[in-house]
Amino acid sequence: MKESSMIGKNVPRLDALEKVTGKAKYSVDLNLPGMLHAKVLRSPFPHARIIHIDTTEAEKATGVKAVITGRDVSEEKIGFIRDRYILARDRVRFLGEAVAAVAADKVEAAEEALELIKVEYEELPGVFDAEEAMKPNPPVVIHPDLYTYALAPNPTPLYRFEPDMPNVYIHRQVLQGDPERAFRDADMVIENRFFMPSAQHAAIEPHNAIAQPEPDGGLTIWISTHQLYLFKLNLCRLLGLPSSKLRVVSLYIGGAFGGKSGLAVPAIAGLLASKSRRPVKFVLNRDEVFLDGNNREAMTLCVKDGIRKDGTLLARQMRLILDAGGYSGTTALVAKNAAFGAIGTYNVPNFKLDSYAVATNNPPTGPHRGFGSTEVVWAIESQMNMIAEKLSMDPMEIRRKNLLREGVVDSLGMVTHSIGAGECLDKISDWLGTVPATPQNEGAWRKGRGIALCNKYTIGGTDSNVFVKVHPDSTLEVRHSANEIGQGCDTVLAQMAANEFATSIDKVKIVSCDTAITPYEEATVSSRITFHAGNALLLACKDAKNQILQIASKKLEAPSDSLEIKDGVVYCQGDKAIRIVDLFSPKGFVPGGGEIMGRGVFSGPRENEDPDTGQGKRPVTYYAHGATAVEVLVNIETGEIKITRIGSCFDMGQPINPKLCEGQMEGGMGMGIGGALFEEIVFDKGLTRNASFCDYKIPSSIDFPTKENVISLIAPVLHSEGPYGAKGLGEGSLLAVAPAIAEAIYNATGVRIRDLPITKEKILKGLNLLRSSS
Amino acid sequence: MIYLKSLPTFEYFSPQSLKEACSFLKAHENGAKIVAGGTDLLIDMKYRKVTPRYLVGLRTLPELSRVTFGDQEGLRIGAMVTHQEIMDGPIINEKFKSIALACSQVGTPQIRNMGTVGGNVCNAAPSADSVPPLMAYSATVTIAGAESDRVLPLEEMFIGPGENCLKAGEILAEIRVPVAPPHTGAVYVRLPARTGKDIAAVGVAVLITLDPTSGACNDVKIVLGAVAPTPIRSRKAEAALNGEKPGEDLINRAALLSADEAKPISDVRSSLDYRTEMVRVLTGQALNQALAIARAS
Ligand SMILES: Cc1cc2nc3c(=O)[nH]c(=O)nc-3n(C[C@H](O)[C@H](O)[C@H](O)COP(=O)(O)OP(=O)(O)OC[C@H]3O[C@@H](n4cnc5c(N)ncnc54)[C@H](O)[C@@H]3O)c2cc1C
Repeated sequence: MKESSMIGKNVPRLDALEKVTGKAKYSVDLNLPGMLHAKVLRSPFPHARIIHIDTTEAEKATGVKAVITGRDVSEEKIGFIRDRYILARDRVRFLGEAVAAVAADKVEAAEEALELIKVEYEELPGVFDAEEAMKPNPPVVIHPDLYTYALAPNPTPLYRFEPDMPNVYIHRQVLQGDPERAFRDADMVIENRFFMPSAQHAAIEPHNAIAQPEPDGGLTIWISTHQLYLFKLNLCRLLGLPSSKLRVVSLYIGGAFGGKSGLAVPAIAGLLASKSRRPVKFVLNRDEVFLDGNNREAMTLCVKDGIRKDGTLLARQMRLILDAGGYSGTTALVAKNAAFGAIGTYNVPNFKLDSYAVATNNPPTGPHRGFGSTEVVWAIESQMNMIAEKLSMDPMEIRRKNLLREGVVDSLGMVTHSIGAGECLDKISDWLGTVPATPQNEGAWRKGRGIALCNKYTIGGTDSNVFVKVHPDSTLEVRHSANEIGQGCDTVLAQMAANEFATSIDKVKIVSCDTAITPYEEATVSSRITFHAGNALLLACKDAKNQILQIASKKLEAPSDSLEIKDGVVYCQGDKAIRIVDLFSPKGFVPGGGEIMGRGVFSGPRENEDPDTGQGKRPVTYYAHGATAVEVLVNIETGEIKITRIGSCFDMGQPINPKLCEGQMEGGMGMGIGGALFEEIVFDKGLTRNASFCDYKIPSSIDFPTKENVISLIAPVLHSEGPYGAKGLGEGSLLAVAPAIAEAIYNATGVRIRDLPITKEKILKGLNLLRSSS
Repeated sequence: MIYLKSLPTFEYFSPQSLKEACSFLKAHENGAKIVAGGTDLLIDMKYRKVTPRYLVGLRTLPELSRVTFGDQEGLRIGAMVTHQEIMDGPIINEKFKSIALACSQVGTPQIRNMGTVGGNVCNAAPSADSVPPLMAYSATVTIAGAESDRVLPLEEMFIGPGENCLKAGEILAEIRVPVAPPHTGAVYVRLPARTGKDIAAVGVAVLITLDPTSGACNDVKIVLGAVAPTPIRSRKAEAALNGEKPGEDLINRAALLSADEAKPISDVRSSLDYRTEMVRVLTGQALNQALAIARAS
């Protein structure tokens, strides 16, 4: 590896000062002259036919400038399976679905106008349980025309419909080897059922967009999203605009975690702006975020393993049932990608997976940090602990024994490369073992420890494009369209650019996320930016450097391969040198070349998968690996749980900025604690019962151990295709937390929890069960 | 589903005296509401549970923001005193620790610095944290009215969830807490519903006064929060302990009686069964803690 001065350095975040001083701008902060405010009317029923909508009164109300209903939206629909109109047309399929929208000069006026809209519904029977909904004869078929819907262009096919199960959006299968035979040959077969509830991302900045009509008939839309270009593509379709007439801009994003992937908010803002010819701002209230903010689906997982006495995994069979809700959102894709998480850690020669995304009349669902992996890791890691227990083996030992190793072909047919799972496991269990002992069992408190492993895949077949413009003052202007959602992509890309030009970080300027000026980026998803945009950036730097060297080599009369760029100067062997500024004319122009502008395009590996076995040579671009260790105290009288210590170790390939990696790990552990102990959206016949932070609880600092009891470690195993060997990290840091906590609780109390979240009440129930059975 | 909306419009009235405030309230009956810290009220307004035309602020009335103490008249807490002021108050910490502790458990610093004890009482949530220890101390409330004032045991303030006994034109002016006799121990224990910072799933306040010679209970108050339509006294458990020398068996029996007297509901926070069981556990804990304090004093 070549010498680098910027890579692996804890450069302070570029946005740190702006953010801590409150100066950083988010689109929710934007206000434009003459701006209107949008509000939507939502269905009070989980399933109903819309007979009639009368908006006459609302249109006449003071301050109201535009009203739209399903009649005003285009034929184009949203979702990976295109199943949803921006505003419901003739049917609503969940409680909270938008049926009409109003733009008025004040938020209050828009809210009042909603009350004047009369909607006549005919209630339809609903189905709220995914397992009931997926039966061959369900109480109701939610999308009678499912098989005629279009599909989104997607790097990999979505797999099959199941005509015998009319509410199944998709069924994804993987088959490797002969699991049935392996179960017969196994010394032990163990089967368990796990559950992970629906969850909200709880980003601080709510979903919002501002659309502004432009003189050419087009629109500019500012959106809080992490999918800038994907949104542009789809909004053109939904708003009937050619690409040249829609400009999409994102400022800083106040958190997303997958949640800001819904198109309804910007599309409604866009439609209302076009109709009123005024800028329109649409911000969801927090309760609306809970109803239609692309929550994680609830997943039921059945895992059956066949094991040899020595702990070797022979076969694994998984059945995943996803409650996708009234519309498929991205959950059809989650059902598919969950397979990646299920196979990424262990070597399982015989493997079968059936994953079903099921339509119900619960709110629609979408991506949530992990995209299927949180759920499968929860089940598999819990199951590994149970196997270890049955065999009286050390849970670490059984993991080590079955880990995939470099060069081994995994259950999806991909050759394993860059796997630091074992190193992570070693490092984190060392930490847990050597830290000074904390209080032992005291009074009603019992202490326990647990460790779990995880992997996070990054999807295949995605593209990035980055520009690097070199200014006369030798500043590098990096133009990219990855969303700064808090993960630190601006800083990481700036570090790479500074490194390539052997200059300092203050010589890099980031220009990002404006489709009028920054180039294509597939989406800030799947922990893919460091790798994909990073690779594109390296190519852009190379291109820009070549342009500089060409000009410099003429000016210095030296071959370009004898030149080197450092700190804004092109050096030649000997003592000849020329400053970059001197390559420009006094008018700021490079004669013959114009601007110095490097372009880089990187396309991730693309391989087709076999539709029958679900296998492929490269279904996944790379895997990040990690392990989380926790220590808990559990009160056996109240079921209270205190996390007294938590640590993670991750292999994200080369860490470009270790501090940012630690930040991701700490954030992931916090979010993981929330998912493990507190968070669950509760539904009652399609009604969301806890659509507020008063009733849906996320952890705060007091639920997290004190600083000296938290650690984030790094065990990098470089990836041959990554920039400097880097992979990705963002999502992974969350995944192993819940199974590690569950194991620690088991270790402390003997209570095994299979359904998240692990509430005090469930612990107590488990303890009572243990007492009554002994 | 009731949706959040923006705050409805209202006019703010700033009275010059308590009497003026009462008259104003009386004149506008359902159209006016007291606003103290607003931490309950403004949320209710955003959900349109109430839409008062006028909000009557009491910040201009310094007598409502005072805490005073005298050996004879005991502790007097103005209705506008915040949870933070109570938790930081030296006298309250010295002589009425369980009240200070309860207020220290309310919400977060932001909420404690805005939310008042008067608002906590008048809002009449079954889970209001300041109420059980105040009730255990046999606190009374002074209620100002347009015509006359009245004094009630705090216990009688509550009618049901979110419902208090104030009539049109009445304002809670002050809470009075008598000084407990020597050899008294008072505690408040609480179990947050989910996260560390959450509304109580169960709260139990206990006050025990011991007879120093016999070691028997002269006076026992057990107050349960969040497990009935209002905070309630656990009278059967109190009766079981009064006059008796409390040992382990008796405490366990009293705790069971408390669990029996609780009438909790199941909601998204906790189930009926769990709450009932926790009343037993927390009552046991509270009794033991209170006894230890009473014995040591
Ligand atoms: C995030 C959050 C967390 C919370 N956590 C807790 C908690 O842990 N424990 C807890 O107990 N509470 C909690 N609360 C509820 C609330 O903060 C408390 O009940 C607080 O004490 C209310 O006081 P306030 O001054 O804000 O009342 P306001 O909201 O101003 O008033 C509440 C009600 O009482 C009436 N009122 C107020 N003062 C008087 C008066 N003097 N005379 C007559 N009527 C009056 C008002 O008209 C209104 O109806 C929480 C609230 C929030 C938003």
